[in-house]
Amino acid sequence: MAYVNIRNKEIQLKIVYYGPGQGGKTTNLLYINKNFSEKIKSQMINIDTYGDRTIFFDFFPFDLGQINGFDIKIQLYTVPGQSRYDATRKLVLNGVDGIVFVADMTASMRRKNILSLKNLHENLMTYNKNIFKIPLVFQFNKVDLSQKGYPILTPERLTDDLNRQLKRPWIIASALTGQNVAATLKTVITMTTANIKNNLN
Amino acid sequence: MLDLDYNNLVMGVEKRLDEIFADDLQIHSPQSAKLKLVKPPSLASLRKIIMSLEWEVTDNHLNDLLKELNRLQRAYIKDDQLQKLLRLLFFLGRYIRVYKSDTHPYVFNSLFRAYNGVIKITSGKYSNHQKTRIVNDEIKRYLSLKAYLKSKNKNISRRTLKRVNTLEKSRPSPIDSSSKQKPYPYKDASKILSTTLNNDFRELKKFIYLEIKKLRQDLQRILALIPKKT
Repeated sequence: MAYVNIRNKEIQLKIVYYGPGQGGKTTNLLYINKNFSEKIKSQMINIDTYGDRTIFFDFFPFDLGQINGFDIKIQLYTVPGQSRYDATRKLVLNGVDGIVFVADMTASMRRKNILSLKNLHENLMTYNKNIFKIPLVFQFNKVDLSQKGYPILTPERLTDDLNRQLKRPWIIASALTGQNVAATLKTVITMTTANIKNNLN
Repeated sequence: MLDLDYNNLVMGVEKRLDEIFADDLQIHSPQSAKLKLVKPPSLASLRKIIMSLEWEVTDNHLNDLLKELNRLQRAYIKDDQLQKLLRLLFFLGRYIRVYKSDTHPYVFNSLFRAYNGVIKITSGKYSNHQKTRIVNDEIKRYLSLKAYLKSKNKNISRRTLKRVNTLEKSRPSPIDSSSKQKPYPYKDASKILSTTLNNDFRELKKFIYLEIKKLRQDLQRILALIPKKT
């Protein structure tokens, strides 16, 4: 739940990048870190990785500065996508305010995307959170693969698989090239900020 | 009550994010991003070529078949099962190229069956296990066909030899009867599976060796072009 301190005029939001293994969650954060770390005056922290795989989680805190007299702090987290790290994923989801579900557009990843979303739903339930109520944005990642000739899942297919019932905003992106990485982050932060009221009530 | 104006806060956050990500949001706005979505390549032209081949075996059709198979192999590079079937179609195509109009009708049947396998695998209706079964069945049938054709060719050559011998009685037979190999019966195709696989493996090894040799030559040529440091 969002941390709001009226006396200190401080709001803290926790956003988690969720999705199947090697889907591009860390790449999203790396892109933000590489291109905007000077503007947001922060650095990404990798906690325990093995090669290019996240074993524990990535953490990227940054400050949006004073807005309407409130100091807005954002904390970005990624989870390890591999199925054997479910306990870690559950732990990272504790107190989550907004989620970016990074779905892999690679044709062969269709099943893994669905399973990961199911896993997110189950893990949220352990914290009495409802996937239908929490701010959630879908990022259909790796669109750049289509230009290299690899067959990819169409947004229609992905929407049908993942977003038929949830009906959340979805963005086609390429974390590797940075296409729509910032747009995804902007959407999720805006949605999460707008949801603070519901949380407090 | 909380001293917090939510609507203004959301607008403020949005404005601040626009400031931070200004350049990136412009570059990658949905309007500017040209999304080129590649759907899995169509198999319609493969079907057309196979149908044309059944009607008439021409060099053009055969070249088209091999080109199309190459294209599909590149497009479906990640699908192992489909790759196996495409390779099988490739072998059958090469066989038809050698024998042309004398190709045994069973080869065309096999070509159609393998094509149907490709259709099934790309339909997305089958599980991975079912796909593996389809491919394995096709490979088994292909190996049986290969064994059958091999034995048939041997029979034909022996019959021709016999005819030549009767015509030229004075000349001794070029082949000693004791060294003659018995043709493999079609039913026992599974027994010769290992032999055929060994032969294929040897062919593959030879092919890889030649490719490496070519690569080495190319590399040497490129290295020769690089000016040496004085």
